[in-house]
Amino acid sequence: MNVKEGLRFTGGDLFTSVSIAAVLFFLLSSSMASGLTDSLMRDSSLLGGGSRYTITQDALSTISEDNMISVIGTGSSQMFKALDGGCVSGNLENEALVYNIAQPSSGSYTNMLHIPRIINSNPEVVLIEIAPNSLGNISKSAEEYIELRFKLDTMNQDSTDLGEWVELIDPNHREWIALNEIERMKFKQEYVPSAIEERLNRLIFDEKTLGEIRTDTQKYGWVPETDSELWNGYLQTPIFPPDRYGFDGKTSEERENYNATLMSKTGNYKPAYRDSQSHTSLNYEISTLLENGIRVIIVSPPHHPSALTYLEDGQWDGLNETLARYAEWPGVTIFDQTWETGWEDDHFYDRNHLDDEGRIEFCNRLAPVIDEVLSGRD
Amino acid sequence: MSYVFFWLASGWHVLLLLTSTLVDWTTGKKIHSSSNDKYRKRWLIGSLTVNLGLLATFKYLDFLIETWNLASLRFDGAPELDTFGLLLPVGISFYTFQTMSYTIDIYRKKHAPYERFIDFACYAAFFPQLVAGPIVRSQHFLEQITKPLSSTPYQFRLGLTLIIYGLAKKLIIADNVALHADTIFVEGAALNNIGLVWWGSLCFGIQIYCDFSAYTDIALGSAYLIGIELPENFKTPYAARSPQDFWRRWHISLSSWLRDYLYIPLGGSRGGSRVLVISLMGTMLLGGLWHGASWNFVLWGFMHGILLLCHRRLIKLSQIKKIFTIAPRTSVFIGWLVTQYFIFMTWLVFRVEDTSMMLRSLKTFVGYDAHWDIHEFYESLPDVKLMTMGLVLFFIIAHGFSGKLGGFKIWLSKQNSVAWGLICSLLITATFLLRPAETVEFIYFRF
Repeated sequence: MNVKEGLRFTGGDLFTSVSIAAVLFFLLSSSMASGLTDSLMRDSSLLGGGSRYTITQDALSTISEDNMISVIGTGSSQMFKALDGGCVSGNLENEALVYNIAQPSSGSYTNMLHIPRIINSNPEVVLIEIAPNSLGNISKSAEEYIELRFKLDTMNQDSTDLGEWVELIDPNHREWIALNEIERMKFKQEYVPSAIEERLNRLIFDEKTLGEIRTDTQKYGWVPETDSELWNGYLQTPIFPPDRYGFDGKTSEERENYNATLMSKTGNYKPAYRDSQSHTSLNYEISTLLENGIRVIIVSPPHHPSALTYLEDGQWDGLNETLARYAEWPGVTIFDQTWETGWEDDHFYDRNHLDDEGRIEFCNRLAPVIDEVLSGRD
Repeated sequence: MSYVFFWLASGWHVLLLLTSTLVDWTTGKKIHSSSNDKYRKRWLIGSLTVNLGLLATFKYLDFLIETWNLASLRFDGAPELDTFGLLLPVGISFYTFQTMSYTIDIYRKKHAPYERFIDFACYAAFFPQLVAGPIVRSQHFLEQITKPLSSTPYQFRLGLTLIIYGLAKKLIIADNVALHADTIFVEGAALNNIGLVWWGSLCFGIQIYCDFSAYTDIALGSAYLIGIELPENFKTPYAARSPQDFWRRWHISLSSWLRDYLYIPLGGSRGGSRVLVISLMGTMLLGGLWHGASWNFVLWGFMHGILLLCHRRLIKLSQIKKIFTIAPRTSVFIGWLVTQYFIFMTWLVFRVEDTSMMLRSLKTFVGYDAHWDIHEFYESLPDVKLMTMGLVLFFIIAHGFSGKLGGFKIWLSKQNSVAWGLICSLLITATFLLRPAETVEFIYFRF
């Protein structure tokens, strides 16, 4: 290489060259990573059935702009399948919109990441799920899920999402949390090669055959784009699994088999009384919301009546004690359906998830509680 | 600084580097100061013994023991030996050849020894190229190291260009095609689909070139940052039109080292056909073995030796000369095609370690007992297929044009600040976005 060719090249030229490259890199990489991946994460191309995991930030931004009294439901698949926000909104005497941003498999440890943005979206009430299977420490087997959720959630965050929850993250999980723009870009980049592959597939092959699941708006797991007219409705009433996946589709033999195996699993839950990772996260979530003038309704979703028969005496006292403790916090209302009567076989998909009929029952029971809280607001 | 870098990377193996450095420093002085040929020769042999002894011990001893144990299975009563489990010291093949060339050149009275030990130590252990070359000749380095180290703004930007370009080549192309090669040549693979074996060899050929030349670019770039110019190691090798042409373009610093210190001393092409065969095959076999302690590399060198001999014989045939006169363009194209076919075939020997799999892949590559099934081909590839195919296509086109235009990196380094900044930002962005989740270690770190 003949280096003499550049004799007229000065230090100023060098500085200009490097500055242009650095600035353009930061601008290009973050916008291109988002441009390539975001919409494919939504339509389940990149995440399969997990596309809903990516909606939280956009959902809360939409809620912050709705100019209405808002009620936000958070929690796991139990809350997700129990809460038809459209139904509850319609049953309220108050003019309010009820949103369902619950995520399958989620718990307080993953939900706490959204507290700053929930506060910024300015809701009146937040529904927080507490269930017997979600009071404890994070198990090793859950770490793969935690990694996915933490990465997906934090890659879509910005600096306003940071809060005290950062201090509550287990040091072993810290590497899955993006706290700055570079770390966010790094997480997002992991999806770029797959996103390009997907786009090339669509370009070269027949999109319709490849994208059947992605374009079926009635398909469970499908998520609309934020600029779609379906978006706002989806935030209240997401697409629920069809009934045939639950008890209704099973033969009597299958149901017996189910009861003997999966139903009895409910008897394995031993919720902690206090001081678990879930309790620490819940304490942070509830206290932060209350400090910001947001009322909290703690929801304990119902279980199939048969499921409760597998419990030993006092097995779920950890849940009872936790709910009783929070009930004493000013601004907290308990909506405990675990021990409530009237829940029947027809209301359930399986041992702890409500189906269409169950959602209506849940809606009818929840609406008056929300009304009462809203009516009693300052 | 280089020694600290090496110590951090390899721990106590720095002592081996230090030994080579001290031995060749002393030997160079002794040889130069004496006019007694016997005395000079004795010192040279001493130096070669130490250098090759260290190389043989740390790189080949366990390999020889394993080979002995394998052979002993055929003879009753032959003792089985334990291997030493020696770790290969980083860069030993490179710095050994480098310091040896220094001593041999002094012995040949090509140049005088370095005046200052610090300069020689720096030459032996210069950190940008210590681990995987290029193998630098002492005179080339001395001319630069004796001047104060400083780079001009242009040199600095040229260095950055090479580093950015090298990273892009490694992370975008080498690491992505590596996923395909690794999937195709996974242990136990049937390797009887001709499409898969061809694609696998193409991917590996591209991987090894982009991986190795990327390291060289980064080494050259890092050296430019402090004002040192290192020699080029590659000149679009896949544009080669003959096996001889390939070795003028591939790992140039090694091939020229082997030519100067092995092939020519063995007799080269000036001693008749028998000497030619011996010197050429000897050079290629040892060149193959230099890459690693494995019979695969010996076979790889052997195949290249055969290719070179066949080429020498073919170009002397009057019918071939006639064809080149009648249809020069077509002949050149066919020459390129045939050369590359065999080059990529030899990559199978380099890549597929298991002997039965390697033989199976070679059979399939030439179409013997092979089948073609596009569905199986497509399904056998990793999830990211089309993007990698696009990268391969891009590489082939860019490689062809790069040879014609004198190289993208050179063109880029001459652009004005805005164009350079824009193109480099695109390169860095592409590198950042397109790299696969798992990066692969530089292949030549193993050698």
